[in-house]
Amino acid sequence: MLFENKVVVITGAARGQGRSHALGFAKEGADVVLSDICHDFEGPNYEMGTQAQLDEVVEQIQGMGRRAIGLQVDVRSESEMEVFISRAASEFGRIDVMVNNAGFLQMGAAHELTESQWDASIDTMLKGVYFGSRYAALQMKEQGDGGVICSTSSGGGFKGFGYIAHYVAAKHGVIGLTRALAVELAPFNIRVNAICPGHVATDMLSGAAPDAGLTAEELEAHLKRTILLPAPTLLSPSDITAAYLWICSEGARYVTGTQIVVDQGFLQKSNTN
Amino acid sequence: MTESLLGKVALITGAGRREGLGHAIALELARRGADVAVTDLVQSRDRFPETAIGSRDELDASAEEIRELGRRALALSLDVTSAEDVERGVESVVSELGRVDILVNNAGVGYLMALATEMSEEDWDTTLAVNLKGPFLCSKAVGRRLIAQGDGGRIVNIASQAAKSAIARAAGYCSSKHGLIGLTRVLAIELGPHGITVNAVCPNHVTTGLGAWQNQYFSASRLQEQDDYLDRMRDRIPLGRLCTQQDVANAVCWLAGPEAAFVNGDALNVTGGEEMH
Repeated sequence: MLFENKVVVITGAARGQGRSHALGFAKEGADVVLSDICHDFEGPNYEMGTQAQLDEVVEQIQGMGRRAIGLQVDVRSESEMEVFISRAASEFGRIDVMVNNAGFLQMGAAHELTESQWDASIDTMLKGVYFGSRYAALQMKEQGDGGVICSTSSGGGFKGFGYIAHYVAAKHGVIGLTRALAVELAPFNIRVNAICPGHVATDMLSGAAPDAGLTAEELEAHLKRTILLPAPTLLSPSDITAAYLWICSEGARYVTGTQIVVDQGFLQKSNTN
Repeated sequence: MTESLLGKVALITGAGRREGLGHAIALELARRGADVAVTDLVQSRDRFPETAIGSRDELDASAEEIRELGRRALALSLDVTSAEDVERGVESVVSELGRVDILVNNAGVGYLMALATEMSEEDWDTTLAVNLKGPFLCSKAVGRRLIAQGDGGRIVNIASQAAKSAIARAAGYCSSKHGLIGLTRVLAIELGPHGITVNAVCPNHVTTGLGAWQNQYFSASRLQEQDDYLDRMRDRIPLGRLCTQQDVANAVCWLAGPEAAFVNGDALNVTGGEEMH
């Protein structure tokens, strides 16, 4: 097992990709410390994960014989993130892997976005990643034997797409942050990378579809036309988990400051079609 | 130099400081024919180096220099992180100079450096607010105006080599500048149908003006003498010299002019070959 006796912290884990990562790391032997915001807030136009969903993930992992806790945390709050990371370290003794996954999608033309819509996206998907990385890095430095930080960026971390200026700015920013952290934390053998998913079939995509005046089915049908591979479906969360499990494992011990794109060929096709 | 921007009205933020990039860009815009509105925060903020913010006198002097070149000029104090200030600023430009054609998002924070594990939330917020939210707010306000005018326009964002590669002690700065490239790309897509191009320039370290502060800070953090630090920088640059304000101003004015009509969504390196991707 890849993560026997390792402690993995994951934000946004009540459902979707975060849930999949939690189960994936636990199957590979890890104890996991999970968070989710567990309430709605101004920004996303669809429901956020709930405490009940988070508890269900925790129970499922405990049923696998691993230790797990799930806490309600708003990644936009430095004090909440500091408490979250310190609880992870105090309850499970240490932190080996930090996964900055929490995010959401809301769409609108850049010149129509409100300042609060801009802030909600940047604060959740860039500042929240910074807080998670910062406090995990402090803990890992104290432990003195390295660690791994990995964050979820996006195909939107490389290219621009219309009607999601705040999302794209945040996801580009995550790549910049990843590079900067990789430079600073390398002397401590802390590796820092990002995973860039394409279209993953989760509540985030279906939830944001109405922002574009589409049903979830219409959005999915549209997105399917944007990929290179003859895939019957959009990406599953488990496709992204697979990349996480590798890049956070010992097999990737010399991989830092980089990104893995898992997108069914979406970025390449968007360059050619 | 042809007056390729004759009849155009440009708005540039952060153009107060005499030795700054914004000042050099504003004068080059004017030399190429544009009327120019120069803005700056004018009053200093806590924790900023003394030389970081242009004073009202400096801003007025810049406007005077533009007038001496035979162009119209407007000097405005404006905080790019305030939506209200930005809206009011754009309205003033339109009422005083008749319209707006070119926006240069130049105002930026190139200090407040610290290791990511030591950086305060306040410094992160200030860096992100000025370097990323500011260009969003200004592009939104000017973008709406350009759409309403109906005859295209130009937005040029001053990013950085740090929008492409990372340096230590600059997590907030690198995040904000990478984000600015993302914003540039989205705006290029959304505003393209209106004939508005949106591009960024990515200079490496300009060592004069506020750059002098960075020389001191980064050489000290690397335990290098300043001369040694600058020599090493020169050695990394194939052209063998450091970036100047004029290098950046030339690139900005090219992107703002008719010759770059089909350049859109690009992040142009102005680094003498140091940055190649």
